Amino acid sequence: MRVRSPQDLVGGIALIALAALAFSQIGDLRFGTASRMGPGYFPTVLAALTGLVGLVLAVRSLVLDGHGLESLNLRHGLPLLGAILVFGLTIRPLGLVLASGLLFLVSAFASPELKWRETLVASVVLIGLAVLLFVVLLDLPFPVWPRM
Amino acid sequence: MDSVFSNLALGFSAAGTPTNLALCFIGALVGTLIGVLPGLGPIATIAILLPITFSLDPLGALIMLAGIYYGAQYGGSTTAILVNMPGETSSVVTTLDGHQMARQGRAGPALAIAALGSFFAGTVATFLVALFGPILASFAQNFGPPEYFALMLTGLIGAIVLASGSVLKAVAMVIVGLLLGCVGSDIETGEQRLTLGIAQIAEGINFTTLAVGLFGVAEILRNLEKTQDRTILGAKITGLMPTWADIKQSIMPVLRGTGIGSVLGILPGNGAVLAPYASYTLEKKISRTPQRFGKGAIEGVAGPESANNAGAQTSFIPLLTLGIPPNAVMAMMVGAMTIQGIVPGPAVMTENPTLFWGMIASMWIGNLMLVIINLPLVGVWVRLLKVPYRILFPAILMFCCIGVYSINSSGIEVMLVALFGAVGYFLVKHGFEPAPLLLAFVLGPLMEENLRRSFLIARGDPMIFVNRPLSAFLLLVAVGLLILVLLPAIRKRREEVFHEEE
Repeated sequence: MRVRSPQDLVGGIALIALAALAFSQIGDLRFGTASRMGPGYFPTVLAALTGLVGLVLAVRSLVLDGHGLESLNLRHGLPLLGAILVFGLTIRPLGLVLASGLLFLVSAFASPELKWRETLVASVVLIGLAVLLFVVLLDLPFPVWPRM
Repeated sequence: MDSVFSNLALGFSAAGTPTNLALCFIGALVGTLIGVLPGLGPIATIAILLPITFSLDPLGALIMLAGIYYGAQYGGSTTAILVNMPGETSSVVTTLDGHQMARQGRAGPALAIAALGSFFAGTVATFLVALFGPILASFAQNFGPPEYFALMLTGLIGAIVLASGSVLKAVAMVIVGLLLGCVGSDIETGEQRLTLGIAQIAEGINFTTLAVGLFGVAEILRNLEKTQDRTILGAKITGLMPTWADIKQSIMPVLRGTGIGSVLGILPGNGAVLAPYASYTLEKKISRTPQRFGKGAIEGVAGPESANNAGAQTSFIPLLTLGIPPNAVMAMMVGAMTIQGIVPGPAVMTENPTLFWGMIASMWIGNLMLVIINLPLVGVWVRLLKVPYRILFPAILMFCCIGVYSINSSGIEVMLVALFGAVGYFLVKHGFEPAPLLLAFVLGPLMEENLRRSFLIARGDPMIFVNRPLSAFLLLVAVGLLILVLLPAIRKRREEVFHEEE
């Protein structure tokens, strides 16, 4: 047996996995009856449909020709997602200025061509702008500096 | 008719206060600024800028968002013409002749006719919204839960039909969107559903977080992997104003485009997406010189741009009168309204006429602002396009993070953006289009509520959907759409249409 559409196969498997995850979470939510639908009714039906579509997609990928897999861009992807995670982790203890600085630092590794001096200047200017916009002008309750 | 004018007068006095004018101006300006950035379409732009409207009053926030929306759309056309890079599907058509005009040194007239045509279309469409809004809203008073459910189902099926790529994958996106909409506490019992024990999503997945991740972050990732071969026109743009001949050639296409766009925009399931294609095809077909199309015919810019804007505007009608967003951008508007404590629907017009009419008036003001802002600022946008992406993307990323953090002051919420960003990237890489997911995510809770109510009324008898004429009619439309998309002939045609996009 040959996989004719690797893209669809991976997509289908992902959908089946999502359905499985949803089912594991539904647990003991009451399903109810059609006339009195319980909290579990809609999610159960949808999770079942997700799994079904995933299954059809996966089976179809063995029959119908389709697209191959495109390579995932981890070289840019990991630093980019890492930068977001770092911001999320550090914004509370370190405040806006330092968390944004770290975001720039980590995301610099996702850059197509890295120029440290330029990155430094750009980040100082942009962090200044962000503080001006969100803290001074919009008056949002942000921690700007680390809390001692 | 009189009441339309008195209502519009009410709207203009509400939207015309200095503060609201300023908000509309800033919205249009910032919307264009972000929308001009390569690869960022209206959905991503609104997602990124949504948080800055949180601290405003409801009318101010919606006015600013409308400004951002029109700005983002116009920014998309600008990049389509200047860099041959459409910010969104609806400006793909503009690249065909717009960019060719730019290559011939006629970028100025192309941009000007796009702006003026859009303004004209926007003016007509605003009037249509004012005219038909109240009629539709009073009609919607008779809607019961079965009708609402049937209408939303039809809308989602419409979104599947109009999504590009595999139909099955579009179906999958809608189902996954509905499933994600279930996350959080149950509307009746308050029980936790599918939360994986994460406290931050106990009240449901935050709409902004999902949208910023799926569209903003995923978009940056996709841009980073494209090699940077943006051919920005080095030559200075001279002669912004179109000549008389240009204008004469454009008048009829603008009128026809406005008509097409206005009609398609009202349809449930994102008919507005089709508007520019329909207009372009029509202009090419009736032109006496069809061979000029694709080589810089101004009609090929004027028609589709007008159609696009008219459709964008009239797609507010289902949202404002029925509370049902017809596409992903309108789904964002629902998110924004909900955050402001407004439940979109027919009641908004009667309970909060200032807000309703103020928003309609602001649509027109927003369009006017764009003409005023964009034409003189074209030079600035061109220079912005020259800023290297390695500087732009961390800035966009920072604004995404700060924006999402400002919703709940929650760092976990920011980390969820990374998760949804990865998901969005995965989807695009595997041929899934995320827009139907976002629409279904917003409609999900509404659909569940109306389905539950319908079954409660009917004691579990599904015949209720068929026995009520209006819901039966809507379901018939949905079934018709489904059959249509599965017919081999249409299917082939559909693939061709979307293939041209790429």
